[in-house]
Amino acid sequence: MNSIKIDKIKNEVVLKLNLEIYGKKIINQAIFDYKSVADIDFCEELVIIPKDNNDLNLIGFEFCNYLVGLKQ
Amino acid sequence: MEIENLNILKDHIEIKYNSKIYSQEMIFSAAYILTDKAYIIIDGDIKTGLIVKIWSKEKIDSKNLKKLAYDFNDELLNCQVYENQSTKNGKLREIMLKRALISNMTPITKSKEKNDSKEDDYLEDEKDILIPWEEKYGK
Repeated sequence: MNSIKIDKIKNEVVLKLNLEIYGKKIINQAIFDYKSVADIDFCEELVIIPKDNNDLNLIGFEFCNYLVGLKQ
Repeated sequence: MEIENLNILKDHIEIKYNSKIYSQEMIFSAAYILTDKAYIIIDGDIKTGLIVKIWSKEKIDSKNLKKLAYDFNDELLNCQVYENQSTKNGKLREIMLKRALISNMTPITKSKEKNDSKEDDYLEDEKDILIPWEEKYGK
C-alpha cells in the first residue's frame, strides 16, 4: 500500500509507492529531475530530504504528482 | 447519487476502479488532468483493481472532496472514450496519412520533369541566336 509519512524531526518524507504501478524507470527519472530540489534515497521506500526549508508535506505530494506527469 | 467505490476519509478520498473496465494508462491520463487541482497517488493491484487517492490542494470540506472525485470520474470517462474512438479510427487515420504523404511526393517529381523540359527548350535555338553573324550572313 502507498503511504506518505512525514518525519519533522529528521526533516524528511518517507514515500512508499507501488513499484508495479509507477515503474522503476519513472521513479529513477523523477529522482534525477529532483536532484537540485532534494536528496532522495530509493531502496524499498523513497526517502526525500529537501535541500532548502521546503514544506515536507508539499514536496512529498508534488513528487507524487510529478510521477503522474512522467507516466503520461 | 452515490458511487459505491468511493471512500471518503479525513483529508482525502479514495476511489477504486476495476482494471478490466478502466486501463492503467487511462487512470494516469485522468489523474494528470487533475494534478493542478489535487495531489494524486495511485495504488492497488494492476490485475484486480486500482485505487486512486485524491488530496485537494486547497482546504475543502467533504462535500467538495466528493465533487473532486466526481470530476475525476468525468475525466476518466472522457479519456476512455477518446481512447476507444482513436483505436476505432486508427486504421482510417493511418490510410489518410499515407495517402496525404504519397500525394505530396508525386508533384515534386512532376515539377522536376517540367523544369528539365524547360531547360531543354532553352537550349533549342529556334531563332538561330547561337549562330555567329559571319556564319549566318557570310561576312
